[in-house]
Amino acid sequence: MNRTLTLTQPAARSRPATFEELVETHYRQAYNIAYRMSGSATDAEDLTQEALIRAYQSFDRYQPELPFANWLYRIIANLHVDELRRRGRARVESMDACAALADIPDYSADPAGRVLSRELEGYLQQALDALSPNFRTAVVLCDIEGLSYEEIAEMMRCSIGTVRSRVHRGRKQMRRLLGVA
Amino acid sequence: MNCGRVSNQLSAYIDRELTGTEMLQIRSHLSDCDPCRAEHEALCRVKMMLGRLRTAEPPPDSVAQTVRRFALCGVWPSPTTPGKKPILRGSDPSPRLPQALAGQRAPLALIRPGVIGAQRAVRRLLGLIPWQPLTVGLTTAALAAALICTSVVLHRPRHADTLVATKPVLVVQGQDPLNLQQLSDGAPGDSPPHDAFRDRLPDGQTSLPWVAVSLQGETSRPFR
Repeated sequence: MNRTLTLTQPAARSRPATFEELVETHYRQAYNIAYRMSGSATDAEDLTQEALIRAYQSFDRYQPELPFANWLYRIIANLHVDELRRRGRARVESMDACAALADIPDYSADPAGRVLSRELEGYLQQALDALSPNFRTAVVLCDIEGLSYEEIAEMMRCSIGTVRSRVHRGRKQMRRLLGVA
Repeated sequence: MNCGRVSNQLSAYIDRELTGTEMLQIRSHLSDCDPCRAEHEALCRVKMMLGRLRTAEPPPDSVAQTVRRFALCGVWPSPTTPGKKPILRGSDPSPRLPQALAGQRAPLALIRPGVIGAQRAVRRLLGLIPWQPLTVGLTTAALAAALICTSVVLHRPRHADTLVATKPVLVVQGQDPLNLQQLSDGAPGDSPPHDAFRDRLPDGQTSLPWVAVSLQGETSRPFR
């Protein structure tokens, strides 16, 4: 999880960073977030590029003391929410198929870690897609990107209490949709 | 701490986003409450699965393509710092450019280097001036003086050599212009000149080149 390259770090501060370098550094992670939020490779690519364009256009408003990645993620999240509003909320799908996930393996007993199967990844993505944008954004940033509540609150421009509520309700919905016992 | 309150704080507990006291209280409750413990384990499992999702990989070369697209849109090489407009390097065109960006920027790509260069030059010049009250005053005074001088030059009285006449005149070097109507009733171009004018000709000359201009006023300034 490489989200720590910020312009405030000495290595980055020693010389001016070009926008191209920021793109090269953060593109993959930005794409990953965009993919988890949108659930589609095509949408993720468009979302990432649109976010980069927005970031470029408003780079003069970027506060260098904050991580560039967080700023970019916020743009992605805002763009995604705008896109959903534009398209209309016709997205929530039935998660009946995920009832079969009741026997999801207990990874807590597997400290070495295990890669999820493609099938399980598909179900997880479907469950993510079924969340409301705010819940999905909070869950993705917290559980996939590993950001703190404070960072998420800053990105989503809401209080830490709101983030706590969104993460919790998002997880509970995920649990219900996936049939996790 | 009751089950409802614990349930609401379980995610924050999992994420260690509670105070030490709250963490201890919930831990104590979980050790005694089976339903809350089951919910806690389920939420942990959801978080664990999400954390183990593979990082979605963008299509190959998408980073390079994105950089090229930016370059195609007229973003040119230059170092930049946060808080200022960023500049990309690279110039290879890309066959696939987001249409919105293309429509917005591509037409400007040709003139952008010149515009940017001019803007930079002006910024550098302005940056050289120490903007103290004294320099501001001096600059204002200089601008005012330049404006006044320009106004004086533009509105200076017309000199005779630029005089526009409305009547045909003969111009003889070193003499006042002669109005043809004063010399004769001849039309401009009559040759030889009128006898009255012939008397003024230098010795040995029977005619002189003459200039007919339109005279706007009744009189003209001495033409010397």
